[in-house]
Amino acid sequence: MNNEQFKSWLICIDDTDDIGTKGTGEIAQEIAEILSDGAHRSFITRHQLYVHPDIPYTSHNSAMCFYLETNKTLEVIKQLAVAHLLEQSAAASDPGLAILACDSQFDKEALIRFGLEAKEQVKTKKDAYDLALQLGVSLSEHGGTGQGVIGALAGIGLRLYGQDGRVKGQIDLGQERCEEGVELSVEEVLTRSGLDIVVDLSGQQLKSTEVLHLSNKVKAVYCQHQFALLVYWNEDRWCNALKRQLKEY
Amino acid sequence: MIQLKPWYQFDGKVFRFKFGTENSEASRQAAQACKQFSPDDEDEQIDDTLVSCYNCMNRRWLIDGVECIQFK
Repeated sequence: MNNEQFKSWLICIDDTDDIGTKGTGEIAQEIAEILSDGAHRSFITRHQLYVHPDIPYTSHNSAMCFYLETNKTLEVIKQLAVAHLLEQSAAASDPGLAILACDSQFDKEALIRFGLEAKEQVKTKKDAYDLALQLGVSLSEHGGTGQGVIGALAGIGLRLYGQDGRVKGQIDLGQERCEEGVELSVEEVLTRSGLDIVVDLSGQQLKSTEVLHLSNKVKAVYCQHQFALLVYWNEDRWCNALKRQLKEY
Repeated sequence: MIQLKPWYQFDGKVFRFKFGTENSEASRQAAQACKQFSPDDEDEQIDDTLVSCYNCMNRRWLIDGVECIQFK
């Protein structure tokens, strides 16, 4: 296989679920695995969007985005993703799919601006389709009202922003199998988790030799354009962030 | 849903949690009293204690609060 044929993509879906059905994150994970032929290793990010009475979200209004390197064409990526969306999305959902070729020429700032605005304003499908057409982003709807196109496009903008989103799932470093938690150096955590950095609540990166105390659920965030473990100083040691601290992302 | 009356009230549109979005203690107490609590996807949970209305699949975030959709 010729590596030169490989291209980079950002793919985002939104509004695929309903109360009690398979979550959007799980569907995104499945699409990532299908598109990677079962070898997907990149993290999926969850991006919080605006909750407002004029937006028909289910319960939290979040989009799920992932990065992909593949030699598949846009047409094939879209075909596979759409087939899975149609199969797995909830009957009452309004799924949207956005696909960006990362190496294409596009106005990155405009896309980021759309993402940030979608966290604070009500955007319309027309807003999303107009911008996608202008920027060359593949944007499509697959059922219901198709409102999910707004979040799908916004999710890509927020991923490009580099300072938004929680990583889907948990980081397992053995901490839940030990009642006391575990002590690991930053270097060990990064090696074993695949994360890029460890940062404190102010965004300051910790040195590789610092020791962390990890317990219960360990989750990561996307900040400084990297996958990061968020920690806070508590009782004279660095501890993994609490969920209420992760909520800011 | 009578058991949730101490924590929720109808605001004319929805049954809204009386204690806002930052009161984990009240959210946990309400969920403990509720027979319908069911956890949302882990990625959507924001309270470190599982049994909490903030983590329930039947809560719906509002622009300035949270509602319980079980009352519908």
